[in-house]
Amino acid sequence: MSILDTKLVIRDLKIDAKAIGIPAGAAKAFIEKAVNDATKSLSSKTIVTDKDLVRAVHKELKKYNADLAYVYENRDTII
Amino acid sequence: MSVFAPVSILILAMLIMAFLQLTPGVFLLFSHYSYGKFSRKNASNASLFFILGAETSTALVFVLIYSLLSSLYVAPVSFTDNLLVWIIAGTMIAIGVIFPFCYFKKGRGTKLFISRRLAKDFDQKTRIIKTRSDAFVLGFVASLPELIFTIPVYIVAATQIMKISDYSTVRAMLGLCFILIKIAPLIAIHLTMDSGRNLAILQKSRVKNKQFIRVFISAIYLLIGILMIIFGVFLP
Repeated sequence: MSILDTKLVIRDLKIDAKAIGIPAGAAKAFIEKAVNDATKSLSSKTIVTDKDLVRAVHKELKKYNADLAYVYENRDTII
Repeated sequence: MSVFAPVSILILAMLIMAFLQLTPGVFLLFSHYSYGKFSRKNASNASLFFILGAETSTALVFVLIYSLLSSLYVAPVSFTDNLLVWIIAGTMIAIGVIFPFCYFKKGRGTKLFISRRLAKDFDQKTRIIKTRSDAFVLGFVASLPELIFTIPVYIVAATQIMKISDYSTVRAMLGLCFILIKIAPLIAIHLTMDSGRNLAILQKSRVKNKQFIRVFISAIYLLIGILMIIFGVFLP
């Protein structure tokens, strides 16, 4: 998977953040930072899977908002 | 036989309907994305249409099964008819036995028995829905994959309602209660999300109660099967 697909990740995370009740300004700032940091941490890898990206973004998001990180990590395990 | 046994069995059947997890799971995702995309008012409206869809689906299936059973028996269903009792009770016991092993998939979260492709489709649909009619249709469709577990429950409920009373008004009221119980968890989720709680909190609670739901629903299926055999065959 392309690590450059972060626009979609950021868009989805912004929707999640609004649903959780995080103010839009704050959400935009820390989501972009978290995703950028996550992609940086993966840049040394030659192959990056979806799971790697989810794990890395989750790890970064956890620093800012635990609920958003939880939703992002568990979105595929709800149904 | 007194009215006590059919009322008890009907209440147990209602509990199964209230605790099954597919429709609440889809609704939880749907509400989450709605609150993320729309204003609170529009999200709330869309959620209500989802609930209406789920209710319509439940009502239609129940009415269909009730009508089929009524047409099979001119008189109220006779539970001295041992074969029918054995078939229904056997199905309930069989589902009770397999339920703990197949309803939730192994692993973290609350992945359900449906195929991963269908789960992904539901996930995609909950993300892209924009109109209230779409929300209604999603609500309608969301409970259908669960029919494998609910059809025997509908049959049990219909037969017990016929048994409880000969009065059509009483039957209609009991049928209405049975239908409404299906949306009770959806209304609870709606109110919870409306009050400001989010998907993370609700999902954590679902994960925490996963084992309980697994054992509880399985036990109710078994209990209904056993009660039907006791009161339908041995103590008619």
